Amino acid sequence: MKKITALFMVLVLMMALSACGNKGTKEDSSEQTGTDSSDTTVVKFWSFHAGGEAEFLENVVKEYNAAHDDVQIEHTVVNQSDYTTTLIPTAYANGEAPDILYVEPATFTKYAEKGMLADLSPYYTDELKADILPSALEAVTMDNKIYALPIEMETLGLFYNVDMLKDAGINPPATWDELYDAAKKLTTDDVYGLVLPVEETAYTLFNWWPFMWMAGADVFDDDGNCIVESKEMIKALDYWGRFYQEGLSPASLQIGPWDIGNVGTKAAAMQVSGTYVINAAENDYPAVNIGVVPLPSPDNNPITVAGGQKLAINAQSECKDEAADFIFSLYGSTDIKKAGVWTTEAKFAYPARQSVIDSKSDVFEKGLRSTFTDFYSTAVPEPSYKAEVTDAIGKMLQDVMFGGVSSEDAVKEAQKTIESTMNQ
Amino acid sequence: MKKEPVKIILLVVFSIILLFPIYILFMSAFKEPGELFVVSLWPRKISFDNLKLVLNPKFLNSIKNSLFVSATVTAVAMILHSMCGYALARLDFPGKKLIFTTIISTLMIPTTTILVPLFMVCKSLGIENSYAGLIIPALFNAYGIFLFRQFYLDFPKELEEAAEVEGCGKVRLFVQIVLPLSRPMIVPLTIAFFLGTWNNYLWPLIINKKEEYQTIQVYLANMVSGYSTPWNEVIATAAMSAIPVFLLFLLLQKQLKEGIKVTGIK
Amino acid sequence: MKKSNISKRRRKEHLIAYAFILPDFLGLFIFVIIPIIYAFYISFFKWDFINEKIFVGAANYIRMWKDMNWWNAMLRTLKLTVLYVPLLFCLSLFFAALISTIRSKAGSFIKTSFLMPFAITSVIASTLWMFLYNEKRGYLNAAFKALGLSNQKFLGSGKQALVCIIVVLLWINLGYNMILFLSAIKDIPESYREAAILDGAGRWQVFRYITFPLIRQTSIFILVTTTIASFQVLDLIMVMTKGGPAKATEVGALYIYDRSFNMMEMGYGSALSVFLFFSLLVFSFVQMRLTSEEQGEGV
Repeated sequence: MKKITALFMVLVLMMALSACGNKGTKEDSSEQTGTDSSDTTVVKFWSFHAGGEAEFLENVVKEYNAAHDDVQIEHTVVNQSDYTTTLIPTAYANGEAPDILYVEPATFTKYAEKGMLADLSPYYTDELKADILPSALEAVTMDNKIYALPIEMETLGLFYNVDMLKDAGINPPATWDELYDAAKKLTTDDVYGLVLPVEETAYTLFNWWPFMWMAGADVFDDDGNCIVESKEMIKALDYWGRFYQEGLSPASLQIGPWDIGNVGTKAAAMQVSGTYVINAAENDYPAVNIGVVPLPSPDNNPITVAGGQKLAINAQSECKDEAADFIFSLYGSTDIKKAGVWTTEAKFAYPARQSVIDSKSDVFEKGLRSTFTDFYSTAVPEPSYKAEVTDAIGKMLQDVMFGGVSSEDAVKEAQKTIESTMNQ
Repeated sequence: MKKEPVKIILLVVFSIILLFPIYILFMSAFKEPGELFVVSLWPRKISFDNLKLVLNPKFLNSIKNSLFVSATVTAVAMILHSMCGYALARLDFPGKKLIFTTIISTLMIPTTTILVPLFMVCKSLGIENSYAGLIIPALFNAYGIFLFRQFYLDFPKELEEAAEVEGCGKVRLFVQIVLPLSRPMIVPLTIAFFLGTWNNYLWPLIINKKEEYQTIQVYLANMVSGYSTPWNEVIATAAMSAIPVFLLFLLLQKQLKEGIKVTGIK
Repeated sequence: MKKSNISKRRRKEHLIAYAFILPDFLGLFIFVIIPIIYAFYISFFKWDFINEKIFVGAANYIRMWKDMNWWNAMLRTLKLTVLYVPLLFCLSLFFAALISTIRSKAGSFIKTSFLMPFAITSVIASTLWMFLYNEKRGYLNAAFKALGLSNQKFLGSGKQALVCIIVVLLWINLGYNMILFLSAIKDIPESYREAAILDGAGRWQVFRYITFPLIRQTSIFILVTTTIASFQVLDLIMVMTKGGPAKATEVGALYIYDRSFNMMEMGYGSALSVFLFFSLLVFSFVQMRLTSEEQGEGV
């Protein structure tokens, strides 16, 4: 009995000890609850950002709360990979979803179709509508209703280790053949020639779209017919698959395929990644000379893809006006200062508004950014397909990359799957 | 025991293999960011920068929350499950088989499937965003009941018989004789419950959105968010967050050593 | 059993038993059984979390029957179970038996080191093992190279990925199950074994006829709980491969997760879960029946 008592004592002791670690945070929590009073509206806002982006959001929420007595933004930071998978659906099912949430092309159609997002058209001024890039606005519009506020445009490019290429006597590749040859030459026992995404995720598709488009292929034609089974698609798949089949690209990655650490730690010589890693490329790896060029294309006509997060408001929300006031004051107001800070300081991305781009034109010409700026006009918005379509394309890629399936068979299967889901 | 040295060498070698990944974890916590992904058995230069970044108020707060939640769950679960397990193994009552079957079957549904209804239950009880929401649903786990039951099935009958001859009631018998002799099970169960709760990620993530109640696993997962994960900080945080659990092991280690029920019979 | 024959004492024992079980059962009922019943109910509906549930009868089950992706995923789960469960069982029993014979002080070092991996969360365990499994800059391939073996792709290979995940599962769970066996072995009075040895039994015979039968309850426990756990492996796979390469590690639990949350088809996901639930129920009870019949005793 004594020993059991001792065991429980240990547990109690641990609780007591842990209470000591509390002191540092108590002040924070009292600060948060201190401003609550009965007639304030609480607007729930969930984000998933880290580093400079998280700091920016923390500051703007604090500033907004200080300036408003009747509205308080309750900001919660969660993990990005759980955000759209478990958290949002579970919260919606229980009526606990945030008033303000992020959507991206991979989730936009899914959420908008299910009626999860509020129509934001009433909050858009004509001035704002004209200011937002047409393709960005189109990407958040469905049945003539605008369901989200685009805040950034992220595009892809080819990052590379300048010294590695120079030592191998290779010029930064511009065509598909050059990219393949370079990857082949640069692949060694401990370096990958080119890092491309690996897993069956929305991010992999984000990287795949421009390659598909550059080969002249697409998922649907203008009339909405599925055209996956095509010569062009086979060409794109053959090219993309070769990197994995021949071991020029990794089949499994230690860090995310987007993480510039792949080139930064010299685990790879080249890497497809986006505007979002420019700050990290400049700050985190000062000793590594990192360069960037447009995505290589078959005929020197590069195309890139433009994705990026958008802010949306929960259709179930009871404080849509307050929520809209917060997000539009941040990214949709005539005072474009904050929208500019978000895309140039907190992170690097292209603003979704012409006026913000114009006001920050100097930043877009700085260092690696100029490359992205030069071929920004080639960006096609990331498509937002139904989940079933995305699923079929994802499987098609995996089959070719790792499943030993020929491109011909893979496109046939994907065509069949997509057609059958469209008939339902 | 002539072969003892051979066995020890074999076991020690195997232990070292098992410890190797943990060694990498702790060693990497001292590596400089640029060296993190390089294969090496010792950091080129020992750096304490990562550890300095780790010890911030949010980290300490999440460790505190995890300690509190895990310790409470462990202590309460132990009492509940030992009672339940004992009744299922040793006492006679109608419906025993059905109750046992029902209890065991609760282990067989994937957690992800009951997340939504469990959230609904907790919401209707008003325990979301609180310690109660983190603790109460974690208490009820058939694993513990099953383990106690199996243990009590093997419990020497002579003990209880002797006590009953002395006119001891079932409740007193349980509290005064059985429970004190359950130590061999309580040690592995402390480990199982403490760690099960400590390492639980999905449930705390779903049920609590308040930073003040954030647990360590949620804190850790949130670090691996965004486009450039600071892996050196993540690794150092992971190493630091494993330390309380290792301390618990060291504390329990003595309990693991001794032979158990047999000593009670004497 | 006639009610009139039940003595006062027995009725009292029943009452005490119910009182002992009640708190746990009540908790389980509220926090586990109700959600399970709800999942069962939802499996007859089409539900996307947001909009009204639409009753579809057995449509989800019919769809499951025809869903080749699901059966392939279940086949992978079965493969994982068949490989992992016996391996874990035998290894932990072997090491427990071995350690139980050790008298030296090294014993407690060994036990603690076996247990250490159990303390590492699956997210971190996955990250750590990716340091080892990495194709070009991994510790394992570095070791292979030193031994003159060829480079392996590990998680990047459709053939090896599932085995790699099983190795991590073993690494995490071996020590804990070993400790459970060890506690059970230690509870066997030394005199039993000594008597057998005096009768001329060899070491294997002592193990087979004395030790093993006496730790039966622990064996059943480990067998059943490990089988259940093997059907539900999810977080390791989510971090390490997300079901890839080319679905080589897409097990049943991951498929359910994907359907339920990514595709937002909670009704279908629940139907798959209900199927998993009943297959596990059958599986476990066959296991328990078999292990107890061998001993000629009811579970």
